[in-house]
Amino acid sequence: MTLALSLLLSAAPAQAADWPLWGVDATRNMVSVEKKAPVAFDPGRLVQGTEEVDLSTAKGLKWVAKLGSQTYGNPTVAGGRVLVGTNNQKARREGIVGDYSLVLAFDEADGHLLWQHTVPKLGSGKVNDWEFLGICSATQIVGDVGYVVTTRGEVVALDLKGLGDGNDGVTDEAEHMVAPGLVVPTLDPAIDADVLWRFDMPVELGVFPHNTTSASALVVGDRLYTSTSAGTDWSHLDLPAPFAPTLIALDRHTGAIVGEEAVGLGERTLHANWSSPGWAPATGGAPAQLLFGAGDGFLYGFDLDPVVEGGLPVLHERWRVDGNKPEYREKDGAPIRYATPQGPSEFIATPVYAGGLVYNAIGQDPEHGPGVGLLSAVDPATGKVVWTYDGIGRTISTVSVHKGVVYAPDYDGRLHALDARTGAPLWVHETGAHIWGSALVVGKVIYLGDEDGTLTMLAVGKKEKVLGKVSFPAPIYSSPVVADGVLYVATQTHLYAFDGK
Amino acid sequence: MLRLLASLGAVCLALPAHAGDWAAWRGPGQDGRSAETGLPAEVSAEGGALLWTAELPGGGTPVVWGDRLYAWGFRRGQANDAWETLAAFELSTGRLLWERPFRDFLSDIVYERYSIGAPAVDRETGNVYVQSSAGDLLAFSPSGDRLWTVSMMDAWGRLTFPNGRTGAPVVDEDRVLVHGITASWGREGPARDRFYAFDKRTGEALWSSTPGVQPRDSSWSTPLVVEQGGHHAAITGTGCGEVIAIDARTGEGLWRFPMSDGGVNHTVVTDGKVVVAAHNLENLDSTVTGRIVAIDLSGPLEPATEGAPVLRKERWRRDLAGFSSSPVLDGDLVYQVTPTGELVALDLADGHTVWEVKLGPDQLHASPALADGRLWVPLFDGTFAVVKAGRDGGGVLSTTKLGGKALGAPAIVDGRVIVHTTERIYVWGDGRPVAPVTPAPPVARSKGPVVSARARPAEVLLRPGEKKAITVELLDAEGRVVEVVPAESATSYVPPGAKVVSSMNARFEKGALVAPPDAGLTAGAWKVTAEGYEATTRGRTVSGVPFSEDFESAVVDQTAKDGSLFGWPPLPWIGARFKWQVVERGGSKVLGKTIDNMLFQRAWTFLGHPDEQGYVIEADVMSDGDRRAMSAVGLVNSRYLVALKGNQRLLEVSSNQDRLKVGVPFVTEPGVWYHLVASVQARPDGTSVVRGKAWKRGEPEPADWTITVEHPNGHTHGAPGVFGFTPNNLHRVYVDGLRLSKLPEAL
Repeated sequence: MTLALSLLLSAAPAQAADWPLWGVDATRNMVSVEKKAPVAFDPGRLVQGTEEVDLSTAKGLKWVAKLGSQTYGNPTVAGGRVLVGTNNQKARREGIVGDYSLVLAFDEADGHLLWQHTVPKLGSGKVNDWEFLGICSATQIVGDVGYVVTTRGEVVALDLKGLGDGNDGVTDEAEHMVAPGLVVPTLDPAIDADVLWRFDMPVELGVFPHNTTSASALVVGDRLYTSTSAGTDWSHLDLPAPFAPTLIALDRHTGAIVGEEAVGLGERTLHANWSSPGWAPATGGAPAQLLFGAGDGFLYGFDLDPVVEGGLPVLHERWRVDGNKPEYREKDGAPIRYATPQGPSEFIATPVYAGGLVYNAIGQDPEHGPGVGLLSAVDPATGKVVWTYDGIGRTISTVSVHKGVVYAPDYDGRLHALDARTGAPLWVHETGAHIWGSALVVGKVIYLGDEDGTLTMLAVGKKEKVLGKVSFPAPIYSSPVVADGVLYVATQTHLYAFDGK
Repeated sequence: MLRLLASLGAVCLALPAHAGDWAAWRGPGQDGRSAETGLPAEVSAEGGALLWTAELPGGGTPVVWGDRLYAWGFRRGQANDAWETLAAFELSTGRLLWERPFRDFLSDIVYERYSIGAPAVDRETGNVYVQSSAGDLLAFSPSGDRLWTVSMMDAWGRLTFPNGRTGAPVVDEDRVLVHGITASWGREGPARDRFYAFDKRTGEALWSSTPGVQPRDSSWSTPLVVEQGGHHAAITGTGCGEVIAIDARTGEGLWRFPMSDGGVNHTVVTDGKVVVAAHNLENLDSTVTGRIVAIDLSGPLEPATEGAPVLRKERWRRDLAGFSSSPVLDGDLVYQVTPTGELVALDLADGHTVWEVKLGPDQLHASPALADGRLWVPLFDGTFAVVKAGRDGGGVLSTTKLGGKALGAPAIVDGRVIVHTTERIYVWGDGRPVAPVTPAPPVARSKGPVVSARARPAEVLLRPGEKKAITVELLDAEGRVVEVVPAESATSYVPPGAKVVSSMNARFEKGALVAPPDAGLTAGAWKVTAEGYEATTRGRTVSGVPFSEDFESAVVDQTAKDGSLFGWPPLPWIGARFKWQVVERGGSKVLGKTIDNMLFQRAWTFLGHPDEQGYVIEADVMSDGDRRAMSAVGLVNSRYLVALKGNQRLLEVSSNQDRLKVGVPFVTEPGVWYHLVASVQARPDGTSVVRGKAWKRGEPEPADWTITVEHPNGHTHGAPGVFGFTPNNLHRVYVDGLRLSKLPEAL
């Protein structure tokens, strides 16, 4: 399935062992085709008083790269490059010092930096572009192009080869590298990224992003789909741009807008539209669909091909289901307030397709704390809910589905294992720390990082079995990935590439 | 300053054994330590040691003075109604003695993040002070009488933030100290984390101080007041990302220690040689987040071009974090709870970890207290853990799960352990009698000699025809008041570097500044003399009704970055600088919202007296825009906003959006002027009726109001103002023909 999808989705198909996009392929199911990944490794200790890893204390470490101070982006690996989003606290480029968001491209072989894409902050503070968050989006690599959504609300296509082969596409990279009004640096082919095109969602569409723009775009055929992060303002109630789209389609070759949702999502948004779009293949007589866990707490299926309505190319809704139980929305006829522990939530996790069903669970900004959750399994052909599971708390983690078992982490720090067909709970593992990232399944092992900086390895299957724990010097907010036999773990401050040797 | 360095360290740290005294949130030593012994062996939400509990959601720490417990909490009413309240309980019985409600207004506070902080009791008078989440500084007598109110938002330009969090005022000698991010007028127009001192009896402003630099964040750190180097110093974290020391008597900046690229929120502790501080955001000199540092007070001070001199010396630093949970000092140990819920004991000498224990998944604001050899540690998730203190400590003695989340610190007094959660107050103990307290004596005047003078009040606000006596406080070398004498003269002057040449329309007469009946809206500075001393103050005259402003008299001679010409907004307006400009539009001068700085994409601006009531405000308003996006423009009347919201296609009445938000469909076209009218009528039954009306300029005025909203327990007064919100700074909004008039009796 994975290989077939890669062929379908990518102009230049990635190798089976690559990890070219968030969720490894369009189904977003974090299960590797590889048979195994390292289980014996140690990130080592930092040299006292520095942020350098003492390599003599590490085990099974192929290379390690210093990131910024906050890293929420998930690595992607293809074409011999490892891309990850972070911030600029470890400044590498002359003239770019302070709070910027970055995509860093490392050489897969040895971890040396090939180029960085530099994004200045919007400057409005926490409301639109939270200080120091760094790029949260995972860059999707398709052939020689990387597609990423920046914290400024831009969708950007990057030349994977950097400027080394000339400045392709737009040539205004330098003036977009710093905030308006600052001295424009001279483009440096030795480190600066080559931007092919750029689409600014706030400027072009009037989108008002809440806190940050976070989604990982999805390329299917000639189109790129992304959510816009449209949401509330400081008040967390007022929606300053309720008619701006929350989900759009661009021409992946030009960056031109070719479709947008027009189902009123911007008016119903509880907080923000941060979830990344997913995809389901043609199934049960229904065509392939775009999946979206939206800011109103509903899971949507859209047709992939836009249709013109009212003079605009729009994405046609096929179905929607509420990700909340009715009792999360309303009690005794009165609405339950958002952000209260018993109240309704939106989707932040990414919908996953596996074995004919779509899985996703609701959650909220971790800053809102724990609360009631719900994991739903939906038949994308009919748009009907097959089962739900309310034993889970709020989550922003995306599920993994492997051999009939769903592995679903929650913010409370638990990993829930459920029967994928029925939703019957199999086991729950407690980590004791908050979980932001998602679980990776490789062969017989589940890898799961947490806020305490612990990477837990568990056995796949119907019984809880902890295989081991590895402690890292910084919290893990992103998700581990595996490519070409190497396990990548990004903590807040470092990217570790473990080969187990 | 050399004098300061030579004598740093003279800090008295003996733990005072003040029975019955937990008058401030960190206790009598301001450090979270209590001398109480014989405390319960175990506490639980329903356990035997529970003396009483009371339902009152809150986010901070109760304070105790004698048999009186004051708690700052909030109550929920019908629908979305909620209000903050100061509640007075009898400590011995749990009997509620009185409550005094106060309401949120024009703030961004979300998700009921109310009452995060604490009241403070004056040990001399027993009066109690609290700063509401919307910024009102309130003074109450022990019997609950409102003594005075300072509206920090519309008088001093205090900004609010979505998380609320005002911390605790500090009652020090005759002053009440607060700080926050403010942007008001003139030299205090740029946003800074400023400190203010008000007379504890009258609320009169004594001084304001700007010891820091451009803020990176907000901060609600509560100052720690200690004797240091001959100064009565207030040390606190700020939104500049610094720990700052000011002279608590004069506001003079003593030193600042830059440590973070975000706000420093907790209350620091000191042994007189080092100040232990923590934060959880970016460091200035590393690429990791969070740090705990022991600031070495013996370090040299570097002069700075802005703000107080800079102190950089550290005894030690650790890559551990503390967000807003405050540390506790225990001899040669310091305890800190990290954001991931670990209680860590560090050696004060070198910062090494003596022990650590994970108590819960996370910690936000709640702080531990130390008493009876134990650390009492409330956690964000409602866990209340008791841990053995000391070098051989770290053992968890008990844990219990309380109702709600814990955001404050325990108060430990009279054999009682008190914790306030987001659901209720818990009081544990053996029920021993509550000890009486002895009021502190009045603050003695200094015998001198006099070395400097300070005009009082620090800022004057006059309506037409009003007058205010100006006095001069003669101060000794330590900033103590020797004598207060009437001002002999007051002369208007323009401070050097002022961007706008302006004077306050008032005359000095019989020791007072007097505003004429037609004073208008003016602002300026004064030089004041008395007994051979000179001091400065400043002030504004603000208009009552009627008032009009068409901006035609503004001087448009400034050049913007894009080459366009603009004029400064009226100097007396609060929070206008850099957010509004007078620009030419269609042959007329109008007020235009700036769109060159994303930090200022929204502007709340006040132009009148905070006590103004019973008026109508109206103006011509317009938004630029296109098919995708427009902006919002509105008028503020008595703490309500009536706004035309182009993107939403609404005419909306709101205050805090969570408390009141009612809109009616109203489509505005970009580039078209509308006339907007807003009135507020406070009815005797406590309901306020907010009315709004809008129509295209030049067309006949509609007979009916476009929107009418009845707000039970509504706001009755507040400064008039203008509002502009230019999302993504794409499209400007404009205001012209602003008028204030008396509310018609026919309403």
